Amino acid sequence: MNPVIRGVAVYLFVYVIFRILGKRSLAEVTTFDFVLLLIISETTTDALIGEDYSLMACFVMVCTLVGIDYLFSLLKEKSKWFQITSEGAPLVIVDHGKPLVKRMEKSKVDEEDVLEAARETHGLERMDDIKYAVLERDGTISIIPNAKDKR
Amino acid sequence: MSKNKHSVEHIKTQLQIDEHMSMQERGWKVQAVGLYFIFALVLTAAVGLYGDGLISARKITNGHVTVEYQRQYRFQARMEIKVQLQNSTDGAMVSFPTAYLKKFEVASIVPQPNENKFQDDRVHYLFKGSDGMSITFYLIPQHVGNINGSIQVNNKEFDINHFIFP
Repeated sequence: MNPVIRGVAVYLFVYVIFRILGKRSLAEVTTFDFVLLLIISETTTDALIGEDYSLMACFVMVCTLVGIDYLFSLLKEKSKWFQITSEGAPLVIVDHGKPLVKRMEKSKVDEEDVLEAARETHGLERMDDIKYAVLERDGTISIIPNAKDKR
Repeated sequence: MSKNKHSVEHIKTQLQIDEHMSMQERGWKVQAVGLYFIFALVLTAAVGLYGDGLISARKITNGHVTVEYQRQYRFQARMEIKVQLQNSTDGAMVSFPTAYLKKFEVASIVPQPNENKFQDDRVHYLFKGSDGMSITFYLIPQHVGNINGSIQVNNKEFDINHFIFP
């Protein structure tokens, strides 16, 4: 099969799979997730290059993957719709110390994740100390502390 | 805040962000469908829809000869065609149409044929042996889609059809 078609097919498939798994799928990588990622990369490598170990195939594959990634970033710049469809949009998950349960459920985030982010970024101790928590497009959680806790 | 206990909370904040809630909600629905797709792919693969399983395994018996092959398989993956003969005293002659073999790479044949020849647009493999012969052809598909052909084993015809996934 043509290496460009292979490259595009594998890129799109991996893109769709990680989009389905949601923003949080790669935001926090555990040791096992890391091993799983290595296995996935190994598996996709075989599908990408098959038995063609030539330098030319390697160049074509690298350029195909980088090219399609660049094309995607251009599309994201040009089209807001494409950007939100492919990356999602930020989502408020805590409002004035109150967890927005349905939003968290849909985004596969739990209160522990929010509290962990609050402790790590601002040293906050309780949910009440959080004014807003936002699940960003890259899956990280931003914390805005209540005014009295800002430091 | 929320319309009912099943819908997501709609809120107003002082933050300068656009949540695009309608697209978020559509995205969650697509994610749910996508998860079904992932599990469907795994389940169908487990039962052999893409080869190596119950759904893809085929066995044709004609007299004392049995041919086993995979109905569905995958591009450039090594596939087996097994020919088993019982009560065969004169060895076996297995032949494939050239058009069929052109769509595969013959990786190996176990046991090695004693002789092979090209005749009448077919490739003939001759094996010497007696009762309970088992011959395995290891083929690697080089084409995607339907591949059909008829194998002849000691002049008995076996129609085999494959669908090769990319």
